[in-house]
Amino acid sequence: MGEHSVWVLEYARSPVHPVSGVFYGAHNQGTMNLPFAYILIKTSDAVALVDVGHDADDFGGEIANSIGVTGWTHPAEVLSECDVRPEDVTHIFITHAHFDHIGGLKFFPNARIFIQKKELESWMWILAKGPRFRSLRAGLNPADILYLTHANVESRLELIDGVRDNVIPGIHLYPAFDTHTAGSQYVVLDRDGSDNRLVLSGDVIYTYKNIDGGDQNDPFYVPPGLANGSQTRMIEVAAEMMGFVGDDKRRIIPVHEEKLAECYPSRVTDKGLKIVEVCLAGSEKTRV
Amino acid sequence: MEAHYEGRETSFACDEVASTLELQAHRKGLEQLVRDYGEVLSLFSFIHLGSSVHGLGVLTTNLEARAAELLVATMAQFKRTQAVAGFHHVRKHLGAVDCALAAVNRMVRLKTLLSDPKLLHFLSVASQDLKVASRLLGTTAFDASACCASLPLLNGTGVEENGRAFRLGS
Repeated sequence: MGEHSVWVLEYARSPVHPVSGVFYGAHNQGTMNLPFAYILIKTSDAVALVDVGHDADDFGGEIANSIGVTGWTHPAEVLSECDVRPEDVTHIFITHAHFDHIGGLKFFPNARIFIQKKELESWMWILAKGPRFRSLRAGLNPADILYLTHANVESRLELIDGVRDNVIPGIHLYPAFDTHTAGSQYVVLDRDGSDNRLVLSGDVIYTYKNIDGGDQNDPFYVPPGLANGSQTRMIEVAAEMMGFVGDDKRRIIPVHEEKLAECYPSRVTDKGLKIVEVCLAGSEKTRV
Repeated sequence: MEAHYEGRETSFACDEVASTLELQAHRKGLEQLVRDYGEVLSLFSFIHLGSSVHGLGVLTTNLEARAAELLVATMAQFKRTQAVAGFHHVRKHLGAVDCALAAVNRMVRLKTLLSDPKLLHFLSVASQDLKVASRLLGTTAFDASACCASLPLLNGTGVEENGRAFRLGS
């Protein structure tokens, strides 16, 4: 037993996500089911989220509708499955600023928000470049930027410049620059020493097939197709993540992976959403 | 049921009625306005953020130039839509967005009021009204056509259309 409890909480899904968005080069291979989720981490004195989903009642909801996302559920309801209220959340680690990862910030009025400075700088650069660069800003929601501005006024926004060790004891933030987005980051969580770490990968890794290419015997990296950065950088950072977990892919937690429930205990809620219980602290009761 | 207009005046004038093509064109114009105002809102939000976060203000001058340029063009386009009939409700909300962003623009140009809570107030007003206009039109505030899995790209069978491999998004 460690000091952290970790759950992956599905809040919506897309039944029509293009395979080519998830696997580089997989053109004309149709669509796939893609869960949309965030990760809840509980420690003895902190409640953290890795990403916060989107707000269906805001611009992000319109974007979500336009790309076939269904079944959005309010975070109060999603988190209640783990006996957490949105106002209990103390820390939010944003892996990147796409609407489905940052759009739910307004539901968490007491949380400090941690995002890489480069992520915001890159969006500023894209906007400053004007309309010919607009393909790079797909997935960005103007209301999210405004919310960050509000959070900054309330001194709840913290911009990270590279690695941040022990943002909460045992939880570290690592940059994944020029990958899925210019300023992506991922979370490394220590449990009982270095041989038992977890990596919360953000969208640098969507599914386990990004790590092994679907070949268990002779694995190879297949980066996600969707990237503002480069596929080469995606592979480099995936390899870095695998280094953190001693080449045990099961300890990498990609939130868009449908098969997480085959690796860890899970259940389906009344709303039809999956809860995956990755690990439990000694004092915590199971929610699955 | 067949309508009977015997003995009645059947010709009428109504500025809310236009041809289908005109309405479609007008709608497209309004959708573009929503996106342009959305972009201006983002630009001003980043300008505000850049002014108050150490090291994030490097691009502020570029953002201000882009915001000013886009706002002038968008406001001119909005004025042109006022002469066209239809979509009164949408235009009312876009009018509120227009006023709020004009106020923000004045404050940004003065450069002395970036910490003023009024600035955030105007940005929030613009955001709220833009959201309503976006909802009424059923469109996104940013151009999401380049977003992964955009439904119009699917050919009704859940399979991507051929020849459209370059789709960026969330």
